[in-house]
Amino acid sequence: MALHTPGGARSAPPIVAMRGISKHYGGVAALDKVDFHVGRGEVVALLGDNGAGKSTLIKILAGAVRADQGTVAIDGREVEIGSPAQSKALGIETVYQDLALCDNVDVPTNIFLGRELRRPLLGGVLRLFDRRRMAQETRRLLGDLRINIADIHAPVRDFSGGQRQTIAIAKAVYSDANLIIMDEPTAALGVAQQEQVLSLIENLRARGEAIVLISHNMDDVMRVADRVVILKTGRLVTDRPVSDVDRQQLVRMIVSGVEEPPLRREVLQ
Amino acid sequence: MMEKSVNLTARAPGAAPRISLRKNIEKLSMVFVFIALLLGMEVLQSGFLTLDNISLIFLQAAVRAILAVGAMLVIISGGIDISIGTVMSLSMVVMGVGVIDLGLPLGLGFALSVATGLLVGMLNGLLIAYAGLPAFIVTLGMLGIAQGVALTVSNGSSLYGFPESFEVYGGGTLLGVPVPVLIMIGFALLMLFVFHQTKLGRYAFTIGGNEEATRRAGVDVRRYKLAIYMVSGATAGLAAIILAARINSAHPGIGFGYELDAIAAVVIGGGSLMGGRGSVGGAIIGALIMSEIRFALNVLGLSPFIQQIVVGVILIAAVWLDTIRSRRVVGRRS
Ligand SMILES: Nc1ncnc2c1ncn2[C@@H]1O[C@H](COP(=O)(O)OP(=O)(O)OP(=O)(O)O)[C@@H](O)[C@H]1O
Ligand SMILES: [Mg+2]
Repeated sequence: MALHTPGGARSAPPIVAMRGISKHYGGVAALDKVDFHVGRGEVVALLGDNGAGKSTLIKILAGAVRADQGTVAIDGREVEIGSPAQSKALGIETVYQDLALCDNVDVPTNIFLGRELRRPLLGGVLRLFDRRRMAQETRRLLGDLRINIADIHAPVRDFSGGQRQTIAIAKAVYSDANLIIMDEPTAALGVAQQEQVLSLIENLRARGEAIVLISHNMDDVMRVADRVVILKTGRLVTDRPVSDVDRQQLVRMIVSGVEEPPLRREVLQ
Repeated sequence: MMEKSVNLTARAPGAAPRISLRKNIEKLSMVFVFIALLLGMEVLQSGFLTLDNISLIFLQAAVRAILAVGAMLVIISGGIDISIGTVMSLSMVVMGVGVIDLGLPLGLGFALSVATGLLVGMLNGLLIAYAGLPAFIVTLGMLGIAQGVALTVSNGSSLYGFPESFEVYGGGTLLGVPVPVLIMIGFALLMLFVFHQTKLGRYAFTIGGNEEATRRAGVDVRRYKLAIYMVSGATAGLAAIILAARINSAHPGIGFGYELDAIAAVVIGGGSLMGGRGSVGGAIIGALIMSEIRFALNVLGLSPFIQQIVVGVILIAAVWLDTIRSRRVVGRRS
């Protein structure tokens, strides 16, 4: 994936642009006229307290939930995302916190689930799974992403939570997605395992992948995000580059839901 | 986990998928159980251990093994099909009516038997995969329906008068090997291919492991579940042919109870009722052990009534072992 040139970035339409998105559950406004966009090669952190509407917003992108109001445009073209399959077809891959992997089968089977490689036998009379190539591709993918997995043929349940999360992310990356969404990828992980996942996200960022990251961990956000978007009870609080906030300010805005003026770097230094 | 990764990393890159040591130990240990039971019987009843008796055990295992392999596929996918026994009765009766009453050629009768199973399996699959009903309840209902239809169609009595050539499929031998055993082997090879080289087999494993993840990977899970129950039904139709040939008639009540043996065979052979685990070889070894136990009980002169009790106890014990085993597997997760 090519990195954008500083000049061209402005003119190119964002990968995803959501406008005026509302979603009500009964009387609860899970989302209230929210605007959200992700540019090429951008890592956007989506923040907010419990119930802020983060998951609802990304579920709309993932095709798991339909918005009541608002539009979604991909590469500047307005689209309908009616199902997970449509979302995938539009180049959006979602990594859920759980339910991402089949524990009982090995890494290649998980990575190639639903898109198995096959090879013909007897001149195409039979088609066998090309296990060799799937294993090679898996090793290449994990190597590219610097994911360290000794034995890709062990059932996935044998791996640590951090390794499993990196496998789930690698699976999304292999799809050649335009946008990868991760809902709390480091939640429920130990410190070392969080580090594993974070450095993977850093690698992806360096490769120019566009990522939406939901996280409750401010250190993670400050470390890997280019931009932060904060929601509070379904409303947009702020949307600004990470360079314009610090950790304390993020926490205050998440809790209060009141936007604060951007930090002036010069003043700080 | 540690002890595993030791022998795993030694494998050459790009090598064929490792045949899991643990799974093989389980299967091997079942082969030992099979042999130990033979030796144990020899001790109880000297003169038991003859080639004829072993051949008989294999012969009697054929029907159970075929059923068990189908049941294995369903159980790997996290489902269950308890209708296979009475579906086998129904298939047999339909074949009997076709061949005996309507005078259809045997080949067509066989096709009718398999098609009947396929059709019932399709009904099961539609209700389970598309209507979202629980597999246990659907197939329990189907157990009753298939039994009722089989009894109605046959007027509650056995159908006699298959052509003479029919008996070959139950009692004939080829190069000294009973024909049912040959059919069983052929079927097992076919199913090995289905399990490991088709999407149906592969997705049975992933659906059993994590149905939601399989769906999110873009797999049409409902379609594959439907197909899995159709295979299970067709398997019952195939087993019906052999069983009918063995008794040279179509008996509307003979199938009931075979589902117990088949499910017990699956669990003995390393399948897990939680789904996601199992093998063709395991199902066959499990079926061999079940037949061996039945055979031994016969030799010891225990009535079929007592045998029912024993099979029930074995099933429960095997499932108990499976839950202990599964808990251990979950516990290995860090
Ligand atoms: N399926 C649903 N039915 C009813 N209400 C829902 C549903 N999904 C979400 N909500 C409500 O919408 C609001 C936003 O929920 P959402 O899951 O998007 O929050 P979140 O920001 O992801 O929170 P968390 O950090 O706890 O994951 C909450 O008030 C929640 O109760
Ligand atoms: Mg959430």
